Amino acid sequence: MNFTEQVIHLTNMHGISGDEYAVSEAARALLAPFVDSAEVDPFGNVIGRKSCGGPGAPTLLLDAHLDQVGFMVSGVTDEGFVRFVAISVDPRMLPGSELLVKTKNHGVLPGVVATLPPHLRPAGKKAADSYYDVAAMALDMGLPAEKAKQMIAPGDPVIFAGDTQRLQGDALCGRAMDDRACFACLLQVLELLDGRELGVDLIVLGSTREEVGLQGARDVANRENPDYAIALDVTHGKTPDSGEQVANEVAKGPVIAIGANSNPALANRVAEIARAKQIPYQLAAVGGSSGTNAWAMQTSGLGICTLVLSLPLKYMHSPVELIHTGDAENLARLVAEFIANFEGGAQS
Amino acid sequence: MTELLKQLSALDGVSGYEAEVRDAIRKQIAPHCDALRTDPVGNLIAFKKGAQRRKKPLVVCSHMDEAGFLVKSVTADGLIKMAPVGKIEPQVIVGRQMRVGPKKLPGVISLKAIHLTKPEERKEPPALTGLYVDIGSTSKAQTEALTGVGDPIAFGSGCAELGEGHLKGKALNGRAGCAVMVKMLAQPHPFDTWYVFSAGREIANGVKAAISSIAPGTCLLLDGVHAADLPGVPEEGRASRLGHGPAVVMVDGALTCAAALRQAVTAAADKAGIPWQLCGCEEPASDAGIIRGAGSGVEVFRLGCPTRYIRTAASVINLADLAALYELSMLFCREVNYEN
Repeated sequence: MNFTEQVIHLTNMHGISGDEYAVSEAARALLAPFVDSAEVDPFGNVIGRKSCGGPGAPTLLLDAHLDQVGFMVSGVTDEGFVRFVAISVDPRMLPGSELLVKTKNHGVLPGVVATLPPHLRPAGKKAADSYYDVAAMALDMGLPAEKAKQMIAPGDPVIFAGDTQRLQGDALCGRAMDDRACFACLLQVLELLDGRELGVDLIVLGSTREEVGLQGARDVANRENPDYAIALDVTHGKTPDSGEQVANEVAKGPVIAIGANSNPALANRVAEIARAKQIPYQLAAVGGSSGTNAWAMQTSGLGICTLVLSLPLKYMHSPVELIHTGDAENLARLVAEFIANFEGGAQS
Repeated sequence: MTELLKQLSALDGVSGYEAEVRDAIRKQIAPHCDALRTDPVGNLIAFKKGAQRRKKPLVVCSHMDEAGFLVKSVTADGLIKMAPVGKIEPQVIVGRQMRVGPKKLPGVISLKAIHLTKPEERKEPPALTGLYVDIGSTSKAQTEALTGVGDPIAFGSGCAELGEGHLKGKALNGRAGCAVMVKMLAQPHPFDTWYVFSAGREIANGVKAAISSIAPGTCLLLDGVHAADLPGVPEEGRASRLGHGPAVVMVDGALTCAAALRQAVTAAADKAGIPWQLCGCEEPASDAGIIRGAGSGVEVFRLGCPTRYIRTAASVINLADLAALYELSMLFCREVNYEN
C-alpha cells in the first residue's frame, strides 16, 4: 500500500473514541514491518519500538491519534428511530446526512438523519432551533420499532457514512483524516528512515481517545516517560469563511507550531532542516495549548519536551475533512530528516 | 422496479439537464411504446395504444428532474460558487458529497470548522451565497480546465435499500413515479394512454408544453408526497406515513382534487384491496396546478409514494408503498373511466 492507499484503508474503518480496537489492529499490522516490536495496549494504543542500538540514546515518541469524531446511540424511540449523542462532531453537518451504526450482533446499519420539510415545520420555529439540536435529532433506520430495538442498543458507535474520495490533484477527502492521515505519515517516516543510522530510540504511538481529552497519549507518555515527543496532528487550513483566525493553508506544506507547547528551539531546528532540505513549510504561532496530544504529553511522566508538527486540513470534524497528500508527504520527509539529524538538547 | 429505481435515482438530472435520466428511461420503454418523442422542453412523451380509445386522452405523468445547483462562478482559490436550481435548503447540503458537471467531478460542501465559529454562527443555517463546492483544486485555472459556468451540480449520494423494505436515495420524489411508469408501459392497456416523463418540475416550468400538445381530459400525476411521520411531529402535522399505501393529495397549492374522481379511485382501490391514504396536510404546489391550467380543462389526480426528506441527498420511501402505487396506477388506467 502506498501512502494514499494506507490513508483510505485507515479512514474507511470505524473507530470513534473508545472504540478504536479494529483500527488499532490495522495500524499495528501496518506498523510492525518497520519496528522491533509493535503491540496494542488494553486501551487500544498501538506502541511500536525501534531502537537505534546506541547505549544511552535519548528516546523520542512520535504520536498520531487513531480515534475519530462520531456519535453514540443513546436510545431507540417507540417508532424505531435512533437517538444519539455527538462526540466532538459539528452538528451543522447533520441535517440530511447519512450515518452508520455499528451494532454488536447485526453488523453495520445505515441510517438517515431525519429532517422536516419547510412547510411542515412548526410555525414560528426556525430551522436552526430544530436542526442543530442533536438531542432532538432522530436517525431513520427504515426498521420496524421492534426490530430496531432488538438490533440497536445504547452505546453502539455511530459514524458518518461516505468513504474517502480522491478529489482533484492530490486532494483526499473523507472522515477521520483527523488524525489517521498523520498515522499514515508516521509509517512514511519509518519507511524513509529504513536503513539509516539513528542516534535516537523511537517509540511510535497510535493513540486512542484523543477527541475526548487527550487520554491515550497521556497514559502512554506517563508510562514511557520519553525525553521528547512529537505530536503529529491536523491543523486548520484557510477557507473563505475562516477569516483572520487561520493563517495556514492546505497545499503549502506542513505546519511547524511554535510556542510554549511546541518547544521553540526544536521548532526552529525543524524549520532550519526544512530550509536545508528544501521542504516547503509554514509556521504557526501557538500561544498556549496546541489542542493536540502534545498538551497532555508535555506534563506527563517527569515532563517531556514536546513539539507539534501539523498537516493542514480543511473542514475539521466534518464528514468531508480534506487534505492534500503532498503536504503529508512533505510532513513525513520533514519528520524523517529531523530524526535522522537529531541533536536533542532543547532544554537550554 | 426496485432495481430500476435504484438505477434511476443514481443518475443526475438537474432541471434543464435531464438527458441522462431521459436516455435511460427511453432505452427501457422504447420496446413497449407505440410512439415516443422528446419535445423541445425535454419532456419525454410516450404513447401506449390500448384496446379502446377514450373520448379525451389520459396522461400519466411523473418528473425526471431533480433540484440541484449550477456552477455560478469559480473563485481565485478554485472553489465553485453555486446558483440554485429549485428549492434545496442550504442546511442539508453542508457536509455532503456532490457531483459536478458532465465529468461528474467529486466535490464536497462544508463550512469552516466548528472550532472557529462563534456561538451565534452555530445557530443560523448558512446562506447559499456563503457556500461553495470544493473539488480539491487549488486554483481558478485548475477548476476551469475541468468545469465551467452552467455545469449542473447534483448530490453525489447513491441509492440503496435501508433497513427493512425501505429505499434511500436522491431524487426519489420524481424517479419513483418514473420507475412505476416504466413498469406500467410494459403491460397491455385496455385504453389508449399517454405517458409523460416531464422536465423542469423543480423549477415549475416544463410539463405545460407536453400537456398542451396532448390535450388530455384527465392526468394521473405521480409525484412524491411529503411524509413527516417522525418523532416529535404531532399526528396532524405528519402529512403522510410510510407503509400505509400511496397518498392521495387533496390540496396541492391552488389545486383541489375533484371529490367525484377521488371517490371513484379510492372505491376501486378498496374493492381491489390496494392500500391508500389521504395526505393530511396541504402539499406545496407541484406540477398539478400547471397541468390543471395547461389545456382547456384537465382533471388532475395526484398520487404519490409517501416520501421522507424530499430534496435532500437521501430521501426515504417504503417499497410496499411503491408496489401499491404501481397497482393503483394500473387500476386507474384500467378501470377509472372518469369523464370530465
